[in-house]
Amino acid sequence: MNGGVLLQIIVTFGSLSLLSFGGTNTVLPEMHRQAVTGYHWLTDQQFASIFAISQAAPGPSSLIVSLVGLKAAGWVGALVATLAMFTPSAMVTFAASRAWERFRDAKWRIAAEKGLAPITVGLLLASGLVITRAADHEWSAIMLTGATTLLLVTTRVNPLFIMAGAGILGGLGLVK
Amino acid sequence: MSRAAIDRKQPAVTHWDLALCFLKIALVSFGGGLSAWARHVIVEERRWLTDEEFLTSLTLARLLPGPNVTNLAVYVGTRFHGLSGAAAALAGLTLVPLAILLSLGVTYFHYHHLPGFQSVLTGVVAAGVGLTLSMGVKAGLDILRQPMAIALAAAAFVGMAVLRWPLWLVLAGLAPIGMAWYWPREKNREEDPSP
Repeated sequence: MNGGVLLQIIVTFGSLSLLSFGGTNTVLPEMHRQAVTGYHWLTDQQFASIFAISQAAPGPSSLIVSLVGLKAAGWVGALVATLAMFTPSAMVTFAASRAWERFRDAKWRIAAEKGLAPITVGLLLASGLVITRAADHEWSAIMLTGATTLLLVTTRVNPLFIMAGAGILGGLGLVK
Repeated sequence: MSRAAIDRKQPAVTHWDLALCFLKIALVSFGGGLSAWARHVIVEERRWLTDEEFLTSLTLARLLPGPNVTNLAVYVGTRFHGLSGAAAALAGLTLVPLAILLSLGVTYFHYHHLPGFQSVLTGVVAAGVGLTLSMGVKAGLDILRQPMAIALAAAAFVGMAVLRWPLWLVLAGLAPIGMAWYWPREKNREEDPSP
């Protein structure tokens, strides 16, 4: 393994980290451009597959960078890519959180807390709709999404059971 | 309807609690819906934050660069224990999932197509979408109790899902309106008696 690749990984993911306003999904196109078209660390098909795997696997989907790093430079690459992706943005958030806590009793903070909550509800419903469009291509999947939503809103059943059931339905070929 | 908003005392939370909490959020979130799980665990199970506090910190997390739930972990960790708390929450959120994902990745790069893998995934992802939607609905039932709150939520929804505006633009338009509307008046300021 050579240091050049590691340096490329640090620069690539370190800058993506600071650019990923609104979550990692916003920098995926840029990550794809650099990793597939720019550096040829992996193929188009491989990128699509590790994207699906990192979406489904537990934990933040931005851990996808560890798999890009793994393919580019082995285990060290995976570790370096993960650190480069998570550290810079975490430091920024840490500073912002400190400031946010310091102004705990400020009027503007109380106003922000009350005023932003309904806006966030609208944003959550919007992302729900946007990912429904992206993920559910057939009626069976849309119905499963609807049934899951209804069950989770009206009952206190642990979502894990519903996920497991949905996985089984998928495995049986009932969800397209 | 019982809600976390009743108890306003700051709960005692250790570094270990932080790491375990975010590890749990990470582990149960296969198939997506990480923020929905975070709300379930932090607001409903542990009652560390109220719904309002959670939603605001989620917006803060979404505004800042970086993965949303990672930022949420840093915020919650910082709130309880500063830098070391942030590190504990972040470690809980990422270390075990990293190990799992790397082993999945190695398996994938070696064998490429696991039979049935894709179809199981389709089912799980569809349910994961439902989880995200249910979070919006549940939080909405709690928060949207006045016409102004409903109007703000509706405008944010239309801006994001229908007009497909970028997040910063939606917030730049709506946040000042929401903040001005909810600006505290002198008389209804309630102080927390705890130090």
